Amino acid sequence: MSIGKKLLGKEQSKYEDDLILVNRAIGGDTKAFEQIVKQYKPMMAKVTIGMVGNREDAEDIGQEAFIRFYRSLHQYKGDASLGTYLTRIAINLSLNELKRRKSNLQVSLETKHESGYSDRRSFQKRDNSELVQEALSHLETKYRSVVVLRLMQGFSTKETAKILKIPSGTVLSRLARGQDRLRQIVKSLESLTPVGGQTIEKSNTLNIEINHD
Amino acid sequence: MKKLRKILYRSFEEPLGSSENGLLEAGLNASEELRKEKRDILKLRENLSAVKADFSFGFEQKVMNAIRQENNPVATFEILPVFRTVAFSGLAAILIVLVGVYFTDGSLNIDSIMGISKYAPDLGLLAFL
Repeated sequence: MSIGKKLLGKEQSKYEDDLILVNRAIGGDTKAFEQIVKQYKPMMAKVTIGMVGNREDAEDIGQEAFIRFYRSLHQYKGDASLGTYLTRIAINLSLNELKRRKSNLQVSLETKHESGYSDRRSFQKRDNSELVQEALSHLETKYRSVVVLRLMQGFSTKETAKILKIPSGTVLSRLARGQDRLRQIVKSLESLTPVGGQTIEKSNTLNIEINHD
Repeated sequence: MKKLRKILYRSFEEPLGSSENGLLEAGLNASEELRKEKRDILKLRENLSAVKADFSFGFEQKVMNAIRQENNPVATFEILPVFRTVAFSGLAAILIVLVGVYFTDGSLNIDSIMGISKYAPDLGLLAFL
């Protein structure tokens, strides 16, 4: 059996296992639903934290996503994998949260300065992963959702398109632009170099220009 | 350059045709800037896929509690076991006292319960004064 077929078999078996769990949950078996929550918690965490930036809000969204799924269990017909289905709910809730926050179009790094991000010690402590997460929070929502789903969560271009209900071509163009913007943001964040106990900014502010495609 | 960058970004997502591949290779050989951009993007993608994120301990329980509450709102109104024990003990003590009063006084009127059934009201008043 080829690796591709083996993988397909694995996916198929996962899909069937998920359907069994969903059917048991519909029948009132809360243990089955708990198993679904346990299985998809890491995925939900990655997507929501990637989208909204902080764990507290992400947990609220994750909880709400699972509850909404529970309420509409009977509506899940298995057209999409459970992961895709749950991610769609989580992304929609995250987008609502971001809309609610009415995030600023121009983010001044000086504001971050005041909130402690530019503190010398915190800069030294920050690793690549933290830097990337910080950069993500500066990225415009439409690019962020594509980057989170495709590059953080590892969905394929097709799956990302399906979740966001946009054409695959749009996913590719947003991904390219998103990566380009993210690269620039990371550079700007890295340019805040700690020198002699004080953080010297090579560029005074990190101006995020929003490109509309 | 713009076209080359477009091809570069697409090369991360899907296989390129032979002509585009050749064009990109030539561009990468000729431009340090493009090579750097490729390195940066590869590093960025690596960092993004390596991001570890998880919810706090007990997340599943929080979700399941919310669901149980939704399924059965009455059942979630649980009196703490210690309060239940105290309540039952108190009730038992009151019953024992009432039974005791009934057997000693032969009735359960308010005077018997208060232990003043043997006193006439005026005597009680005089005693008070």
